[in-house]
Amino acid sequence: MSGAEFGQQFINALSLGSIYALVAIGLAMVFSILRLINFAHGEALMIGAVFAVLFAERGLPWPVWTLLAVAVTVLGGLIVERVAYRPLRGAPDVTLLLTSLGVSIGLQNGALLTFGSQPRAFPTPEPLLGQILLPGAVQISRVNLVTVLTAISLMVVLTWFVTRTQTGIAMRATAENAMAARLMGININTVIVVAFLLGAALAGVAALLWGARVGRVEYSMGFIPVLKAFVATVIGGFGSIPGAVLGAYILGFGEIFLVALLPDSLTSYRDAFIFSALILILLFRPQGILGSTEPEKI
Amino acid sequence: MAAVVARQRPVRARGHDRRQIVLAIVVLVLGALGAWYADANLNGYRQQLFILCAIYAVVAVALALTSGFTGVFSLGQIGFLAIGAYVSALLSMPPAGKQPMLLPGLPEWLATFDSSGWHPQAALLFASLVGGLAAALIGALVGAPLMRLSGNYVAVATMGFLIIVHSVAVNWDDVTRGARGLSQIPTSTNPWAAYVWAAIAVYVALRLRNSPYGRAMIASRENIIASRSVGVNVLRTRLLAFVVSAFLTGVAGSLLAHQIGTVAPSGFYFATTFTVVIMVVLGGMGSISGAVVGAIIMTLTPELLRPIEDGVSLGPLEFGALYGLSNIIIAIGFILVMIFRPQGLLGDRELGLALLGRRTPQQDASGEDITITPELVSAADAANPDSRG
Repeated sequence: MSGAEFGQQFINALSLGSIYALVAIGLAMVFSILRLINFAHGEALMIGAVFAVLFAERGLPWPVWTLLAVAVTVLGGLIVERVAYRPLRGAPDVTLLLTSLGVSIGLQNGALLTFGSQPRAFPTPEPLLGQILLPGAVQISRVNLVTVLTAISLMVVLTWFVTRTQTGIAMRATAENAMAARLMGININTVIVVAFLLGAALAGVAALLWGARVGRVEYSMGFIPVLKAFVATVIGGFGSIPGAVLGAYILGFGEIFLVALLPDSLTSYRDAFIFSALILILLFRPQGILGSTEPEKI
Repeated sequence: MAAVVARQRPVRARGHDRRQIVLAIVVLVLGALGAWYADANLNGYRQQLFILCAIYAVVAVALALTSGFTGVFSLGQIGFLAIGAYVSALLSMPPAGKQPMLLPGLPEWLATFDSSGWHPQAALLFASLVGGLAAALIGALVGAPLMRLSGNYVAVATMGFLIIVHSVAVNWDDVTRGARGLSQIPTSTNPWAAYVWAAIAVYVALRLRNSPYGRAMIASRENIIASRSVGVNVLRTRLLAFVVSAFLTGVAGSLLAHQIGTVAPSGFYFATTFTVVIMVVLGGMGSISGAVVGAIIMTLTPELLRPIEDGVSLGPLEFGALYGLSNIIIAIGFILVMIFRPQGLLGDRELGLALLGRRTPQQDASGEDITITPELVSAADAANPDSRG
């Protein structure tokens, strides 16, 4: 691998990891507070991308449809929380997990029904098309650059939010110990709603970036990113937000460089390698790299 | 040891045993009548539905074994279905379909293995047993480490297993023909074969649950520490359930492959996983008859909803075909069940016993631990005079 090629792959991996991170943060945030593995989080991504296409097809300018798409995603996240998850407060972990699977199937088929089974092209805005030439003959696509920059700035804002604002601190307190947080007068429902809101907003942005990356939008598109984001949260440690981000970048780099370095005959087994790694982590370090959740082991 | 838990059973179960045997015979005869009727009188489509119900009953009962009895929630069940289907398909396909040109990765003995001269049911039985054993073997290898995990973690790890199996099925072109899948499998699964395997699955699950092993499974589900303190080897108990469940699922995979005549990776992934999970959750996680009922409901519902999917007009809106509608209805129904009746239709109870208005023995085993003393035995006998055989 030449230097230029390495640089390209590096940015590519950074960009892929950034998208995974945006999705994984939402998963980790909700998990840390509710102990819910939210499979339906991938559907937030799908909804964002689908509405981006629908709004763009109406001829709206891109700054408007991107914002609208994120807004709809947030609305969707809040509705799902209110309708499907809130009635299950206090239910066993597996009940929550299964419900989220149900939500995921329902939303996916809702999209199949209304949006159709045919993939449509993602209306990537004009300024994002094309390549940028960096010194050293490193060519990177604008989409990748924008992805990395957007993700990093959002993460900076999120860090500020959870460490500096009262709501953010309340969220961390609830994740630490919901009972104690409640006794301190924190409204758990507000915290949960905020977690879903932030998670959906990040997924909405991730939807736009993912759409621009893969170039097409279809009803089943949320599945792969959420699985990967999920692996990322396991690598980093269930429920740890910095862990989820770290895990996402490890996964992004792992995936890109695995494909670049493996012999051709094995590259298509990429997912098998990734999920074998997942199982090994669950067995030997179930708390992940940064997690502190008590591992459930016998 | 595990026998401590088991000793509770004779105290009050004998009266049930007799009823259970009568009930079992009634159910068996009814099922056999159904199989006979399906075999002799039903048209092709309905016959296939009968077979499908029976096959999914096997899968659902197998999943109830791990998820319901031991509380180890597996999302990897369909991986075993795939293994059983592929292994049995490779055995049963005629050598013409397995030539090196088509499947270069097959070892010679398998490529030339020919059961087309056998009685079709003997060939099916052989392929199903081998498919089931292959699934059980892999189940033992995978389960040995994974059964150490609990709760969410085991769900995630078994899901990882499913993804790995799927990835291998899609990519191992030389043996599985990738996404195109295998075809030319003799379609020898008839209502009888499917019914007999469903009956075997139910019988094995019932016997297992009422055995010391089954009591150990339920005890470890209810409270790991308490069950260990009375000597239950939790890992071994879970592994037993997982391997038996893998075997039955592998057999079901073989029946499925020999029903439709083709296997492709897309049939063994999340959609199927979700369907089977709904079957078990709907019926009641700890209930074998619940799993069977769930399997029948979930096999027939999409068929009943199909006419709606084919097209409706609502006022000004014309929907040509509403693909996905039945899944939406099922998903909403499932969420409602999770919210309003998370224990499913039957919970831990069995259908027959629920109809008889009796608690199953298991509800006692899952309650407080009782030390069996002579006083307790005589008190129980006094309360239930016909329990002394």
